[in-house]
Amino acid sequence: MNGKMFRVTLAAQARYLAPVLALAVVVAALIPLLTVQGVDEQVRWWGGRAELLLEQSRLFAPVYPAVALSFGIFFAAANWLPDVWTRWVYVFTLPVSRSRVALLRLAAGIVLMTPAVLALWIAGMVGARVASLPSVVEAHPGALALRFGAATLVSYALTSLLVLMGRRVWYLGLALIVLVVVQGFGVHFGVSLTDILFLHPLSPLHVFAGQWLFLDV
Amino acid sequence: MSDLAIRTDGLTWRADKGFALDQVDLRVPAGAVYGFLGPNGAGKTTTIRALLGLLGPTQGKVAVLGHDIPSELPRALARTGYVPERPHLYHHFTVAQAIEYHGAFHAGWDAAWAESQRMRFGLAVDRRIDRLSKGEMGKLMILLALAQRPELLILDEPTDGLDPVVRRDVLSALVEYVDERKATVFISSHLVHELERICDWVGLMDSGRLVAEMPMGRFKAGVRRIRLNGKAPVPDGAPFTLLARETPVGRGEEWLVRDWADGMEQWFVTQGSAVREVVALDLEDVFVELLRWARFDRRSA
Repeated sequence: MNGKMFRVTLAAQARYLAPVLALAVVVAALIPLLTVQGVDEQVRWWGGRAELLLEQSRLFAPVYPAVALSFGIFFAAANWLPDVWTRWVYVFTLPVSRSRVALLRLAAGIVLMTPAVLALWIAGMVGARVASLPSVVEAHPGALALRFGAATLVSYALTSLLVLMGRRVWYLGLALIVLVVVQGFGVHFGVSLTDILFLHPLSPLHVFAGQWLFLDV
Repeated sequence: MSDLAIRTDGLTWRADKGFALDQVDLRVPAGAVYGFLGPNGAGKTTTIRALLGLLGPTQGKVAVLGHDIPSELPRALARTGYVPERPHLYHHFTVAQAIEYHGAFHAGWDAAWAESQRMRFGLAVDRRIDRLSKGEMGKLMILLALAQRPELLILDEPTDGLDPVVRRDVLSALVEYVDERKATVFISSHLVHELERICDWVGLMDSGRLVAEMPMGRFKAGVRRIRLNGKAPVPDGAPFTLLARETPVGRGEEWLVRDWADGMEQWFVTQGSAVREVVALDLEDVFVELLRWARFDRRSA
């Protein structure tokens, strides 16, 4: 029964999310390829292949967490949208507990994210091979893909939680975002919300912090 | 197992905008076909949502098939088929996908029956849910509810807006199922004549309250309009319940009574009055009169 429930949940989500999935795979594959693309052209003028590759890697570093965050939000929104449209009546009259429904959806979501993570990993390996990296430069396609997967999952789970928890939690989330933005303009509340949210080791958002370098020394 | 398929005790729920369910005490006997009547906005759908755990009561208790709601909700839902007032299936599914998805969540799912019923209803497997006509949607909803082989069916206006042919198809599938399985049916509707044919119990809702609940026979047979000649007596000590009294211009008084039985005309004679005519009401008239009485009673209170 459980396997059957998971299978139909996965199939239903895959059908609904097909366009988002295709977009996710293409974008995830493009980022590492774009990081190494055009380097040979620049080397002719500027020299210093290793420096140029590292510079490109640093340039593209913020794109990975931004894309992971967007994918997670897209996946979650598209995942729960049919339930929002049907005012939760269908899903909540199925004979399973609500926590189990959430777990089934979450598990199906994780499976559906895998192609994008794999695309990033494979494209990273291909990019590193094609770019014929200097010996001082190392590529980290595996670690980057894992981190990308974890960040997408965190974004997906948190957005799902927001959708499931209702208005009070939305307002709380919104208030938190407003406070972070206000703090960004130099207003101090005694503690740094950004530090707590992104740098505390127990915070799920910790995965987004730091540099996301595809290439490193 | 309890003799009651559905039981609510003091079920109360309040919305922000003032609408409320007020102390609803439902008793739906197991095996009954229970018609849940009431005008639009009476609280029928809200009561059903409370039975299915879709909203939590402010006060009171709900039990479905002996399971406490909401603590044992999944166990109750596993034995309950539900057809909502508005279609609630995912729009992007096809008919085949909707059937497969629904079946995967129900242990007692009868795939062979579902397929035969799909063919009987003429539902194309590859038709998307959002492309189905109202009639096709009604058929699919009843198919999904019945193919899970439930002990209890909760149907919220299942034939509302359907043409007579589809309505007959849907009701005949329902009646066949009930005959075969001896399931309990809780069906809400404002189409009184439709329920008259299939129900053996009736509950009447108005303004969030359960105004009356009784076997259909008593509901139909016990309410009469009594036309009197001469002076009307004082109703104290009458063997029936006086619901309303009116005096049409130029004629004797008319009483609307409940719990009427043959021979009760004699009571009027003992009170110095006489019965000119006893008029049997059809179900719709009974429904309207009971509502009028309930509203008058509330205003008086």
